[in-house]
Amino acid sequence: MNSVAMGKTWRVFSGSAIGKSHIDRGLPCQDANRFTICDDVLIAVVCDGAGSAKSSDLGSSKCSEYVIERIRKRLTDSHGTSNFGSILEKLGIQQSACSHPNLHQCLVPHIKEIISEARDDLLEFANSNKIEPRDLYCTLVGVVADSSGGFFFHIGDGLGIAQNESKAIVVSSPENGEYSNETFFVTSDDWERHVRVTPFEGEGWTDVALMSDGAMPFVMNSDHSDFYHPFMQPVRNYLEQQAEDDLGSQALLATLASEKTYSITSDDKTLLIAILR
Amino acid sequence: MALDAIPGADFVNNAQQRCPMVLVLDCSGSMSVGDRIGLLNKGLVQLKNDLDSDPTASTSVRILVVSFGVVGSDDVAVSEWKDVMDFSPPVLEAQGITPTGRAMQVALDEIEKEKNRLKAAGIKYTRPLLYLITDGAPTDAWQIGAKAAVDAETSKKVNIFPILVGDDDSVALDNLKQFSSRNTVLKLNGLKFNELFQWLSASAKAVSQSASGQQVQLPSPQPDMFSIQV
Repeated sequence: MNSVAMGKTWRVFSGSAIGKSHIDRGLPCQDANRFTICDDVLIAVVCDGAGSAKSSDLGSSKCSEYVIERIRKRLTDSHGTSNFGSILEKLGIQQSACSHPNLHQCLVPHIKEIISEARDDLLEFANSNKIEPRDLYCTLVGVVADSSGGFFFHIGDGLGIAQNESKAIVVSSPENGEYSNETFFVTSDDWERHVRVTPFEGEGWTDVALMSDGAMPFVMNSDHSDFYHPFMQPVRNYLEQQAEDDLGSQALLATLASEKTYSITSDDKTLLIAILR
Repeated sequence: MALDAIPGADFVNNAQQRCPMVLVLDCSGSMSVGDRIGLLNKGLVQLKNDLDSDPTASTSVRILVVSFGVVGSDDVAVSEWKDVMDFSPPVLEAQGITPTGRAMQVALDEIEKEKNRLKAAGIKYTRPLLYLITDGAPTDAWQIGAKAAVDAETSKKVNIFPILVGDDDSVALDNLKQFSSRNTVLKLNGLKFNELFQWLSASAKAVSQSASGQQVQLPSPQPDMFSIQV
């Protein structure tokens, strides 16, 4: 799924590996990842189904599908040139028409609208399949980006990280409650209070990654300010050398499924790495 | 065909998470009956060894021991918070009265202090587990401590499990269940201290492995271990 524009191509590698505790209890992987490339714009999402929700594997899968689709639809409704302003334009966001001085505050209402639509899709899915909405509880971390920047949108835990050519880093951090094993969900009633948007502007963004909380302990460093390079460097080098994105994704999945992760986490582990070259 | 894992990737756990666990232990004179105190001491060693052998629990469970009984100004003694790997089980002696209410207040205060320290250090934590293990009715003005315990549990500051290890004493059962928002006390059948501490250890392990969004399912105690009094 490569896309060529201005000589640059998004390569996307992703895997969601089931955690040891879910294997032991005969449960499915409750993480989901999904992405698409629309002209030269990357849209990617990672959802982590709540362990306490009965059908959270469906919740995360459907939620990621609906969010991607809602954004893709907005982007393809019109066409423009490739720059960050055009992503906003394509999404129907006019910064000049926004009363807020900063981009972040301009984005938030639009992102809430998109998530609200996807949430309605999810509630409709629950209704038509006789599933309780609370059984679909999942978190959401996503990104819309091209080389001129983009933004993360986020409810609950998981993490998004973007890096540019000069190694500047922007992180969308997890939001937990007081306790590290509690978080917020797309399908909660108070979801709007927990929507967070993190823009990254300027040229030269080359790396974007999304992950679920299960992958964070070994993919990120301890204060979440950067990748944990002894893990990430070999992985990234390997992926870049793969001729096919799919083969890279398979190797990434095998890595995330490795028994070496068992002493770190018993949770599902998702990592999506997008490289613009 | 599934590929092999990517070679050279270094797996290290960079997550900083702690799971506070508080043991509020009765060391009153009556704990010497049937050598309950000896069994309690053995249980602490067993807990330490069992958690030590679990790679996740040994580095994330934090233990605090609050013991009460000795008559005098220091009828409640507080240990330091320790990660399991650094925890040395104390050898407790049975002596004195049963100031359960005050011991619980001290424990609740220590929990909030520890949370503040963890917060300041940027370390995340799970909801603390508090086990009150006693063999009889409180001898102090326990209602204040009981109210503080129920309030703390109701506002999700802690999970509290009162456990009676003594005789079937209806006053003790009635008083102790008022230390839990679920109005429940676990009555240990006989002297199953070994099983009791196995259950404590399994519970701490379950919490230490819980990830975000996972409701912790505490393991069930062995069926004949407790008679649960509501």
